[in-house]
Amino acid sequence: MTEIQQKNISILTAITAIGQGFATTFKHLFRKPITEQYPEEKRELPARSRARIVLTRDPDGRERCVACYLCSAVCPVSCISMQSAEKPDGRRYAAWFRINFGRCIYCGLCEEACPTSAIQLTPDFENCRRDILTLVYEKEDLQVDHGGKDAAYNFYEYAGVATDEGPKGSHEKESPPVNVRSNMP
Amino acid sequence: MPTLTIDSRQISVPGNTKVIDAAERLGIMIPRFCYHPALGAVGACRVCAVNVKEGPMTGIQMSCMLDAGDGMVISTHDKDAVDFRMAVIEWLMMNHPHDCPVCDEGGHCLLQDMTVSGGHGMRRYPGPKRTHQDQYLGPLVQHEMNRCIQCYRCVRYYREYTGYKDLGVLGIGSRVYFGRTGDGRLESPFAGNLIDICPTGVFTDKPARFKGRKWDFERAATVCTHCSLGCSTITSSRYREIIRQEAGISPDTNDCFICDRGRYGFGYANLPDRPRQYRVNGNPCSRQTAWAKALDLLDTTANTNNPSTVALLVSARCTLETLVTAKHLCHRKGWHGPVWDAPSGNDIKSRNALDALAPELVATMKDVRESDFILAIGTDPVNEAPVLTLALRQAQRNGAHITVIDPRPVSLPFDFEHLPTSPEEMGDQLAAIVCAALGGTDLSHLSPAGKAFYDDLVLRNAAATVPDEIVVALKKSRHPVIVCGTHMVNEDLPVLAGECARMINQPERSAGLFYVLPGANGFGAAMFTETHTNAGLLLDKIKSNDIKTLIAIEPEGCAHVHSSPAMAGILKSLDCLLVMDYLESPLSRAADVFIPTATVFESGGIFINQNGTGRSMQPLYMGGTPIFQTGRTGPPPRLFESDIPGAEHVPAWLPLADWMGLSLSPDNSKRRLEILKYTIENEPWLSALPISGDTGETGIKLRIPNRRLNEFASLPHTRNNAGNSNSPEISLYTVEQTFGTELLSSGSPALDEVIPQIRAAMHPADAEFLNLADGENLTLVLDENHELPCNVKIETDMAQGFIFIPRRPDLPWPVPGFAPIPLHPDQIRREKGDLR
Repeated sequence: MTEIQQKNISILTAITAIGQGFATTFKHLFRKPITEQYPEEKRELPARSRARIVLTRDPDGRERCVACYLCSAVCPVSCISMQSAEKPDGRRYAAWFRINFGRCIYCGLCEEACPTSAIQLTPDFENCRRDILTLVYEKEDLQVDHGGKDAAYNFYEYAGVATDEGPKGSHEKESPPVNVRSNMP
Repeated sequence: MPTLTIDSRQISVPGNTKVIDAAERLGIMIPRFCYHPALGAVGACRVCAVNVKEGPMTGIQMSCMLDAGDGMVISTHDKDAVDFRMAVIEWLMMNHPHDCPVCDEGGHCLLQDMTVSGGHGMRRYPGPKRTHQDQYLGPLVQHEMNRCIQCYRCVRYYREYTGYKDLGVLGIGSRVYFGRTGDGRLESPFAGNLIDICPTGVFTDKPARFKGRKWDFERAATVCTHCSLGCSTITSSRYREIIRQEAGISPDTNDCFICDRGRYGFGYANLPDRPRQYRVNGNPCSRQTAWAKALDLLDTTANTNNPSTVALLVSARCTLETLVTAKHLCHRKGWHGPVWDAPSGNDIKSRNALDALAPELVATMKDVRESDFILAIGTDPVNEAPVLTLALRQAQRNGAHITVIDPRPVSLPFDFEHLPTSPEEMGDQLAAIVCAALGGTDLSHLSPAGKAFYDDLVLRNAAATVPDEIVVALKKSRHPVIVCGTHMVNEDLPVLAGECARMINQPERSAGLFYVLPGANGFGAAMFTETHTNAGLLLDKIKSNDIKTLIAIEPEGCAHVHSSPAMAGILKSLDCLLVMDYLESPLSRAADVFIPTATVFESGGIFINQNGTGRSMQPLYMGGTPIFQTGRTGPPPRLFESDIPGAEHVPAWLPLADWMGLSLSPDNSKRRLEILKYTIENEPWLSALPISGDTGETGIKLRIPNRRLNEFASLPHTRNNAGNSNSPEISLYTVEQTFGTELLSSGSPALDEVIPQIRAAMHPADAEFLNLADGENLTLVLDENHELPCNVKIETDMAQGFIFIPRRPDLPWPVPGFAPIPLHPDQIRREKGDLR
């Protein structure tokens, strides 16, 4: 190929490219814009997106958290703390429960670790404050009145411990208590 | 020494070692549930399977049942073995409930660990789970039978190891049940060990129920301070509160187990009314004010009066550092003391005991467990040093003959011989046993003093008769141990016991000597307190105005006697009373200057147990008011604060060091090492202790300075006045009980429920003489100001002429140091009206 031929090709390529670019620009000039005017307009995020943490309730409306300390143990930034205690009916619960959202990195490990589906991350990501102390959430701030993503689950139906949920042997997949005094095979 | 190969690594082990132990020496932890070093192997759980590649029998075998043999080649991670173990765990998990989140064992559960490491993650069996009803087992142990994996550890421990019979296995086949025949408190004072020994959550710690997880606790190895044995413990604290205590492992002392007094006795450190503030004349003040006031008072006394009018009182719950600092402070300043605040006479008896404790005779708990003849004299093991009972039980299981000579109704969970004898006659019986056993032995090697001692024994021998089988057993024994108490004995008995041990210690028979001392640091207190004085004499001196200033450091007896009006009067005649303590007592409330001290959990420290082993304890936590007591039940404060509320306490040695002019670093941990260095450098016989303060798992055996240079002591030829046996008087003695009499644990709320009602134990003949029936309420009139309501308990197995009541710290007692009181029948009244 001669030098002139090569020059012509590169000019042609350049013009085509400019043309294509302008064409795209022109196309978008007449398209509906995709920018959403946040915060005037708010998009519905997927249910499993990870933001503000809540404590959910079981189908009976009772608190699910049994204060087993697994979320606080797994938390990589140690932003969860709690104290377990016992209710008169034998249920274990959190006397207090605190999440420091100033420290939380929304990794979702707590939700993964939770054996009772109590702690869940919600799509509510708008959590900015001027005063950092208002980012420290107590149990009252964390509790919601629904079951979140796993609405049907009730831990005490499966746990096998006697509570007001029912005595031994009355839960899911349990035989009635053994009669140790029987000699029958 | 067979040499075997485990996972391609060679190891030589002593004969009779199981493969599971040999692997552990290599650092290979083979899974196990039923195997426990203290209980041995039964091969019940099948989870310790390994593959024997070369050996007498190849293939899958249980490593806990297999003796290590020479030339064996064993693989623990062979596919067959791993698959076998995984299948076993899956079977074990088939009926295990889904309750780990609400189970207190979660986090230190062997079953959890083995399930995860065994690789069983998903449940495949869809059928129903077996369930069990739980039982109420008392306030200390929680029962949750669903979690059981039938390893039989609990009953093997409870019935075989400790000898108690009220927990057992019920039912057959897949319905096997571990519990009592009905609801009720576990009778054993060692029941708390079920919590440690259960590999899953069937037995859990009830007072610590739902308080936290292991990973959140500040944990440290500690030494139990509730008796003189110095058992190893592991203490956990969280949010400035001690949560629970577990047994540590120490082969020379407690092996793997502790008593419930040690396990649940820590509550005194958490008490809401624990004094945490400095006080001057009863009013809270700052540290500087109290410090200055104390210095001012001491200066005034030293200037206006003679320094010998200042007395320093210490007790067996002080750490070694405190005792040594107190001793040097007294010497330097010319103060009176340090005086050991021990129950009446126990100080002298303890000193006598240490004089007689020859290094070659010192027996540890391990020696007691391995001995074949035990003569316990003047001691009630379950009540004075509970874990000693377990050691005696192990000896008894191995065929040892056990005799207890004591006036009290001694009850032990196994067969033993009890000779209920009055304290005056105990020495005669000991002499009779030793004389009879030595009869016909060549004693020509004895020194003149030894011969004189033997003659003395022969003289005493005439006064008592003892059952022949004891003598026969002693003659046959190779490792006899004499256990001697220091409470219910005469002053010369510890010496007599020590010399008798030396007498029977012969080439073919290595004898041991084991004293039970009062208090955790009774050994240290006996060594570092002034010998010519005691708490009773100190009170006399206060009465006669010879002592005007009293500095009481963590006192024991004095604090309680103060509840009597007479004692209050005595203390009023003091010019100045300085109290340093972590417990509130009548004495601390009366103090002119009160300095709150740190508990051993907060300050750490060294304790010397009854056989002279120094054990150190690192501080567990900083201390301070527990978060739950800081005024709210809700969450902890939201704001950071630089100082800890209620953490003004100082170790008891700090003010002493300050008054002595020692310059210590302001940094806590540096200061601790400095005082330790001072302690060790100033007491030559402590030089074996490391300056770093780390005495390791087993502690450091201290060489006891032998004050008598291996020569036999001379004893009084006649026994002490035994009193007129025809006299109608009955001696009222205070005795120790497992729960409720030891000062620290008696303040523990967890033990409230297990502390028994005050009952006066008496012999049936005495009860008949007094016309009293078992269970009857009566009032003991101690003197015109003191009356003691209690309940009659008739005990056939005790000496006649005594009434024993538990030595509760709050017992109104008219004489200092709980000295025994002779009671005339007129002083014993029915609840309503006189006896006759």
